[in-house]
Amino acid sequence: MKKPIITAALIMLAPTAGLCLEVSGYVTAGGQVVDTNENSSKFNEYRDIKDGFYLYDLGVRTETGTGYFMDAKGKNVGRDDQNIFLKGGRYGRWGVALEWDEIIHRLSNKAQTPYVNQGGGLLTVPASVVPGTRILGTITAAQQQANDLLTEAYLDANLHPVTLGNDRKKGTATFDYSPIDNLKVRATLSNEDRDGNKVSYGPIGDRPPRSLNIQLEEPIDYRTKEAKLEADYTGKNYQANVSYLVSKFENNIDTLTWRNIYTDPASGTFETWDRAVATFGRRPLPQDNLYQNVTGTLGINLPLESRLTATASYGLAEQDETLTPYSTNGTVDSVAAGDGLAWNDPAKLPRKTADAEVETRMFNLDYSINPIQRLNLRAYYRFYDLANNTPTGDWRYVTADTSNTNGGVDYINKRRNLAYEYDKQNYGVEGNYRLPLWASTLGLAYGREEIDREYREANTDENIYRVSLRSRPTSWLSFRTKYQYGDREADGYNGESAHETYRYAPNEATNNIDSQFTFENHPDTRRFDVTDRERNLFDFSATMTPVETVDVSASYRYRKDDYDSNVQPSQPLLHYAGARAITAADQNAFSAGDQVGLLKDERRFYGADVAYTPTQRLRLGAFVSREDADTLQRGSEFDENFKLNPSAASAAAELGPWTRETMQWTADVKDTTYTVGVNADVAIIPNKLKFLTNYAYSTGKVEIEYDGFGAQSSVNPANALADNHMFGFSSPPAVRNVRHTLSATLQYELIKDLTVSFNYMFEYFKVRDWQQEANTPWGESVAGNEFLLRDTSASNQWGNRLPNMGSYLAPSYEAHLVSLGLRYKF
Amino acid sequence: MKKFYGKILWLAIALAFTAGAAVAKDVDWSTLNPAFQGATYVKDPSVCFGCHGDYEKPYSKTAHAKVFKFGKTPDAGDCESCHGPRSKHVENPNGELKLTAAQQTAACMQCHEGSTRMSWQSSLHASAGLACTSCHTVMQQKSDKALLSAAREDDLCYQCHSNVRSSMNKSSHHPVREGKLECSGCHNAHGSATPGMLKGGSVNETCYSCHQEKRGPFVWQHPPVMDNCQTCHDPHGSNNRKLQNAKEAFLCLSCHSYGGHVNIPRYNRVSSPYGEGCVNCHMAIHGSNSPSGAKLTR
Repeated sequence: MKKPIITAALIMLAPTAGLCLEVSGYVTAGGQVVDTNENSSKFNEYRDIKDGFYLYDLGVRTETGTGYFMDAKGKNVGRDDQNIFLKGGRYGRWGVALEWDEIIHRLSNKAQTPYVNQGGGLLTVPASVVPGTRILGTITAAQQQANDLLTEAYLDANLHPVTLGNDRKKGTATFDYSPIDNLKVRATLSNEDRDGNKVSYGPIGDRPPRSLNIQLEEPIDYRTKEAKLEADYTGKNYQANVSYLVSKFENNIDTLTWRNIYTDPASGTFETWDRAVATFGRRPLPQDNLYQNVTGTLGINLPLESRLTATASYGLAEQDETLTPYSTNGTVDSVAAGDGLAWNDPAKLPRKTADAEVETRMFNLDYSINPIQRLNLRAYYRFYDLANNTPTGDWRYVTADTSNTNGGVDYINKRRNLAYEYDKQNYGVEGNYRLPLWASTLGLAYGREEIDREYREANTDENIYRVSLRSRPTSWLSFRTKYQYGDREADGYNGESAHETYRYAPNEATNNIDSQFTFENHPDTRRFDVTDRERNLFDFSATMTPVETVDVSASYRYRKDDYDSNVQPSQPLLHYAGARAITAADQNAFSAGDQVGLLKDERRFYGADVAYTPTQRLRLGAFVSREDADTLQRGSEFDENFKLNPSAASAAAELGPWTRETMQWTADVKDTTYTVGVNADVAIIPNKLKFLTNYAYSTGKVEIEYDGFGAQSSVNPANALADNHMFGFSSPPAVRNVRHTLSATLQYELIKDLTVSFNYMFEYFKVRDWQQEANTPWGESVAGNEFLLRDTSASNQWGNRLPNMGSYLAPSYEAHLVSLGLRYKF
Repeated sequence: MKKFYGKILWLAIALAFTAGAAVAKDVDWSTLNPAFQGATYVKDPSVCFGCHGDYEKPYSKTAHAKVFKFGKTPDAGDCESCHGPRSKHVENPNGELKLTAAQQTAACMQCHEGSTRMSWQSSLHASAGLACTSCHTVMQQKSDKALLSAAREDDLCYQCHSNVRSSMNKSSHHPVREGKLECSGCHNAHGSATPGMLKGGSVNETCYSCHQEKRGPFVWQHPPVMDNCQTCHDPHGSNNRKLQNAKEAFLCLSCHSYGGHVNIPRYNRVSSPYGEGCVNCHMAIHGSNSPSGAKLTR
């Protein structure tokens, strides 16, 4: 890509050969030294700051005096986050631009893994697998803990560092041309490569508690090629724009295959709870896809200073990747309902490729008019439709490359994919009237949103009302305020909408889980995105200039979403149509009627900015803000094995039925952010010596106040559950992020247009997160090894163990940077 | 779909009808400010710079000056194309012909009403009383881009959207403060056909312009993902990892209460209190193409 940029530059300048060139620009180069904790990738999460000499900033404009020009710009040239831009052409006529941009996203410098990346998405292990962990059915907790030590020793012997992160490298070429008056056409071609890896997971082993999980690296080897064609036409009284985009995404690695480090299916025998576990796990990685979009917009100026804008857009997304087999597991599905094919046989699939297709259609109409001088009215209508043409199919999956030892999988794994789709309409009117007082404008608005969804719990309609006022009562004070009320209603919440994804016959249900004929989620669940919502929103901001040298602005924002959906006790089994026996008591059983899910989301923001410019030599600025987000959610744990027969559940068991009210828990989450910034710009010696500094502080805190089941027993709520109880959970320590950034620069003009600058930067970042630590009341490291986490109950369940790549993959850091640069302006 | 095409037909007829009534957008200066009545074009920038010399050098470096000089120069010439006929002002230089910000916008729209600014008049920014000069210094190049009045685009936007500045300073954020992404990467400040002045046709179409691997479509969809990425993510920043609206399992538990391990933040059969919670197993949370992907674990 760099070669074409240079070539293009020469070509573009060719017509100017022999002409008098006017060249201007700047270049900043220098060197820097960084002192930081190399352990943390967070410092360079999105940038590439390291020791060395760099071309920090470059800008060269070359003009011919006859209208031809060429601009060359560069930032961080030579670094992994560089940007190089080149544009040439003739002012107002045509232009050719080439851009090279790199963005990095560093995820970890300290991660370790036992896997060896063989390329092509294959992860193997260097040594033999851990012995013993395959046994589950009769193993005691003590035996399993002994196995944990073997796993820990295995990891200790085989872990090796792996750098996590990925780089985007994008080249873009744009050509714009105005062939005739009022017509502009533009063509843009781009190619972006993304390489690297990211954190992912590889579960193997049926389902909890029989699943064995491990954190691993997922390779990234993407390429996206795009072309966009646009045309703008400006008529005397209208403007039109048409664009076409084609975007092709390719992933050079189709699947991720990882070795099962826990079991060696080739040796030993399996016990009662064991399954035919595969040697390798496999799953598809992001698929090649093609997206096309054509959009047309027309703007027409009409009488009474009115304007009509219409936009129509059509999009088509297609993905037809060859499907992987159900599993790498070669066990033959030979039980009664089986077809005699192995699970790793592609012939077993209902279709060979994804054949996935989604169409989007958008139409937007906006009309605004000033019927009288002080009044502006606007009416709009918007329609957005997402049509999913992906065919449904009858699937019978192998949960995590693991079947029963007889080759069968559970009846509940007979599933059908659903082509979820929706359409959305928004329409409304708004008016703004300029009052003959204090240069004020009063606004009133009404809007409505209607969303129809397929295969979801509810359609929703929302009425939105808004009143606003902005005013400038004096020359030194202006303010604006807005209140908005939204009332969204779900049109009959159908919690059974997921039933269509199951496809087994009633008599195939061999247990009381039977999600198709009972219910999937707890009957009192209301999903917050499709249920009733009352929204109150208030904004206020003011700007003051009490004296000429001081600008002050302050703002306050408030938003509260209340998802109370008037949930009442319900009888989910009243119309049970399955084939299993059900008692009258169970059929008439009621739920508690307490809404489950997100109940409330309340946010407040307070902010203030001050700018003080006492003289031309001194500029000072500061800002401070506080943001509070408070959400409340409720859950209700239950034993899925007693969905159909809640009365049969043991009253003494902590894991009770869905009818037991004491299974409920709540989490009140308080998320608080403070941000402070100060900056100063001082001309110590005018046009000679300058000092610039800025400091920013940001801290975030997430506190979860947890109450109910988990903190207390469901059998006797007066009793607390111990931290190492399998359901024990209580308010965790607050998550905290703190960041300080200070930079100070001294600039001195050595000679005219040549400035030397000395810069110092300090950064401090600290993170505490109970979920990323090896030692919490619920998770512990095995034998002090942060790479093997285990639930503190340390029971014999497989699923509560996680070999991982380390705690705090991007931990706290402190960094100092000193740089010296020379800037030459010409 | 029939509903859609029916509406399109109806609205196309309405559009065709209204197009017949279209009027020219050239500024009628005397309507804009009655003081222009009787004024004529001087068409000589040197006259203007005779008094306003301070502007000459900075202005000469702007794209406006270059286009007027080398491109399709409007009939009114350099200064007066934007400032209106100034003969009366030359005769009697006072503030009588000074344009308000809204009037300046009308002048800008003579040339800039097309392309990505087509929806300006009905945009949130316009209805909030903003004008072109709220963000642009048309007589002076203060930034590398689009004559913005601040060197960095995000700093300019933060002047009003200080809540976004707060979000962008959070631990999990897009690389805006690092200068690798700008507000205009996702938003069209001049208005768009999408709520939130987004550049794409929807929130998801906007996100997919960079995150193409999440575009799918997948065999197994996660419906809220198809609806709106913001159901789970705050693109402006979060104190939770991966721009999530809530902390790991608590996010999933906002909607899921299936039974067994899916109803509670800790159940020792699964490892949700550490790692990334539910995603430890359900890593294909954006959709799955695996025949064994019904529960998004593949």
